[in-house]
Amino acid sequence: MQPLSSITAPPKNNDQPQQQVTSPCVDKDPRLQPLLQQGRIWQAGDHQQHSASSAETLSSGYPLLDQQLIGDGWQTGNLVELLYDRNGSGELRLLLPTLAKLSQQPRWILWVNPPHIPYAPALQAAGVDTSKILMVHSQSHQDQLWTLEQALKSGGCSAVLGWLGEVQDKSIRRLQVAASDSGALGFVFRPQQYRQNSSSAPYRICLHPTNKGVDITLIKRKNGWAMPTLQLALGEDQLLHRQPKTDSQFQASNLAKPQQPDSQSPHLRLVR
Amino acid sequence: MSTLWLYLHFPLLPLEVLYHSDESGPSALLDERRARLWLCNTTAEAEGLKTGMAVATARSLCPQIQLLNRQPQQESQQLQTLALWANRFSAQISLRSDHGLLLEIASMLPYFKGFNSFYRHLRQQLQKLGFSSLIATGHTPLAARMLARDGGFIHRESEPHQQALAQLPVSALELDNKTTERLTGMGLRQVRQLLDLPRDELASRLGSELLERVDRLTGQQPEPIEFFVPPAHFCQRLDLQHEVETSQGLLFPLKRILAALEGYLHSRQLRAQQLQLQLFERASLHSDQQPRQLIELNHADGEYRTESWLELWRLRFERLHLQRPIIALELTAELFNDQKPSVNDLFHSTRQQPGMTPQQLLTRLHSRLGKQAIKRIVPHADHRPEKSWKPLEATSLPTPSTESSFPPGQHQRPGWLLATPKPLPPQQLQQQLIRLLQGPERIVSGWWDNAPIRRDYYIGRWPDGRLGWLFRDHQGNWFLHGWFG
Repeated sequence: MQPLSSITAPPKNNDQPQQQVTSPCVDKDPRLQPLLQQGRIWQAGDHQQHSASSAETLSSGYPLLDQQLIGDGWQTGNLVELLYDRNGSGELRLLLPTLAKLSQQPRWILWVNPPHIPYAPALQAAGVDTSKILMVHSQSHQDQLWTLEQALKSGGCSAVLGWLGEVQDKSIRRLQVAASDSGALGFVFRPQQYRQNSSSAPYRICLHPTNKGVDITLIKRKNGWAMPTLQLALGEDQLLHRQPKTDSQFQASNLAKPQQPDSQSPHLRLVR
Repeated sequence: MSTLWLYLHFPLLPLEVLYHSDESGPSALLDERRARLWLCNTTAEAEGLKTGMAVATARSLCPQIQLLNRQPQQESQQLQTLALWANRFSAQISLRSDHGLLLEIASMLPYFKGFNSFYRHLRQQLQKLGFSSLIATGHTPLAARMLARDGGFIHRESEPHQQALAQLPVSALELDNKTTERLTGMGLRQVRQLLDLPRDELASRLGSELLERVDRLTGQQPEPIEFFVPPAHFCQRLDLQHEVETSQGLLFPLKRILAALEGYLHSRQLRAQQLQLQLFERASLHSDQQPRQLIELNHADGEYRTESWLELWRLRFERLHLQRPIIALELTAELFNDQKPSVNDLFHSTRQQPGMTPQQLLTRLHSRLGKQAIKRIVPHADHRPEKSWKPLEATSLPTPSTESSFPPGQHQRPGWLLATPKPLPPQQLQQQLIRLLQGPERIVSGWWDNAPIRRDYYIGRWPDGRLGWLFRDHQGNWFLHGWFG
C-alpha cells in the first residue's frame, strides 16, 4: 500500500502518528479518511462521493436525475451540453429549478441567442428572479462564441446558456476552460446530430420528448460512465393532469413548483 | 515643512508628439529653414546623427531617416494633456513652454506614503505614457529645472542637491549670452564659484539680474509661478500627424488622451461613466463642412483607469468601419460618479479569482456588441400573453425586480414564447395530430388600446411528443404561441 501515500501526498504536519497499513481494506485506514471526505479519491460505484472539494454541487431539482449525477447534482464550473432536435423538447423545464436557485445570486444569468423569447411570467412562476436574466442577441457566430467565453470566465455570471449551431469541438473546449476558471455553470444547446461527435463538455445529455414525458439520457457525465435512459415527467403531471372542476386559484398556487416524480417535497435543495 | 519641487523635462516632446505608434524608427525634426536637423531621437543618434547636421549628411548616414517638421500647436496641446495627466501627482503644476512641467510635491508626499513610493509611482505612470523624460527634484523651482535639463537628479534631502547644483556649469543658469561670456571670461565656470562670491560684489559688478537669478536658485527670493488651472470640462482634442485609416490605429493617440483623463479624474476623485469620441474625417472635396463621427461609450459603474477604458475602446473599434481617413480626434467626458472602491462579492465569486463584477461584464458586452443587442426581460402586468413581458435596456446591475406583474401560478405558461404566433393548418387539429390536453383558457383583453384579443388557449401534444401552447382566435383560426420547452 506504500504507493498510495505518494499518490495522495498526505500533509506533512499531520498530527496522527504514521502507522503501517496492514488491512487490505482502504476504507479502514484512518489516513485515508480525510482524503476520502475531501473527495480526492474517487471510488468506483460510490455515487455519493463528491469529486472536487472546491466545486459546488447544485441539485438539478429532479431527484431521479440527481441520482445519476455524481455528487447529487451539477458541479459548478462545468459545461453541460444538451442535445435535442427541436426547441421545446423539455430543455427549459429541465433547467428551470437550477436557474431558480442560481438566480438568488447577485450575478447575471446570460442567455445567448435563445431561439424564442424566454417567457418572463413562466420563469417567474418557476421561481426564477427575472431581473438577473440578460438576453443577448449577437450578430455573428464569432460574437456569440466571444460572448459565451467572456461571460463564462468573467465571474459575473452564475450561469450562461448558449444555443450553438455549427461549432467545432475546439470552441466547446475553450468554453469548458472558461467555465472552470470562474466556477460558472455553462449550458450549451445543440442539435441531436452532434451526439456522435466527441465533446469536451463534462456532461452530455440527450433529450427526447415522448407521450409520457421526456426521455433523458446521460451519454456522458463527470466522474462516471454513461447511464441508461431515464424518463422524467419534468412537471408534466401538474401541467396536464389537473381536474377541471378543481381548477381554482387555491390549487393553482401549487402549480408554480416544478413537479418531482417521486416526492412531494419542495422543489430544490442544495446538496453538499 | 521644507519645500520640494519636481521638474519633468520632456526633451523629445516635439518629436514624440508626432509618433503614431509605440515604436518608431530613426526620425528627426528639421529646423525652420528645413536645412539642418533640429532634434533627433535616440535611434537616430545611434546611427550617428546629431543636432545641427545638414540634411544631406543625415540622409547619407542614415537613408531610412524620417524627417519631420515641427508642429508647435500640437506641442502645446500635448503639454496641456501632460499637465492634466500630472494632476494626479500634484495640485500645483506649472507649464514651461520648453517642454517641461514643474510640480510642487512636498505637500503631496504624505498621501503617497513617502518620497520613494511617490517616485516609484511616478516612474510607473511615466513609462505607460511613452514619452522620454528627465526628472529632477530641487528645493527651489529653478534648481529642479536646472538639474532636470542637465540630465536629472533625484534626492529627498537638501544637502546632496547643493552639491549637485554646485557642479553645474554657469550656462545652466540660462543667463543671456553676454553675461555668460563675461562670467567665463572671469574664470567663473561652475555655479559653485559663483555662489562662493560675496553677494554685494556680485550685484555691483555683474548686475542685479544675475543676483536675482542666484537668489532664486538658493531660495532667498521666491520665484513667481503661474500655476496651471485645469479646465472645468474634460475635452481634449488631438490632431493626428498622419491620416489614420484603420480603427485600431486610433488606439495609440487615444491612449495619450486617456492618460490625461485618468489624471483629471483622479485629481477630482471621479469616475467617468460616459465618454464621447469625435472622429474628424478628412474633408471631402465637395463640401465645406468637416465630416465627423461621434461614438459614445458607456461604463455601467464608472471607470477612470486608462487600461480599462482602452480595452473597452479596443472592443468598440472592432465594430467601427471608417469611411474616410481620420485626421483628428476629440474626447469628451460627460457623466461622472464618485470614485469609491468597487465592492466585489465576498461569498459567491471568490472560488478562484474574483474576476469581473456583473457591471464590468455588462460594460464589456456593451462595448463589443452594442447596446441594442443586450436586453433584460421582466414580467409585466397585462393579461395578453405577448404583452405580459417587456424587454428592458440592460443598464444597471441586477437588482430585485420592481416590475409589477400578476401573481404567478394562476395558469400554466410556456417557457418559450414565439415572437409572433405561428398559424397552424386546421387539418392538424381536425385529424387530431395535435392532441389537446388542457384548456381552454379564455383570454379576452386589450379593448382599451386598439390591440384587443379574444382567444382560447390550450396545451396540446405534438406528434413528436412536445407540448405546445396554442390558441384559437375569434375567427376559429389556430395558432401556435409557445412551447413548454
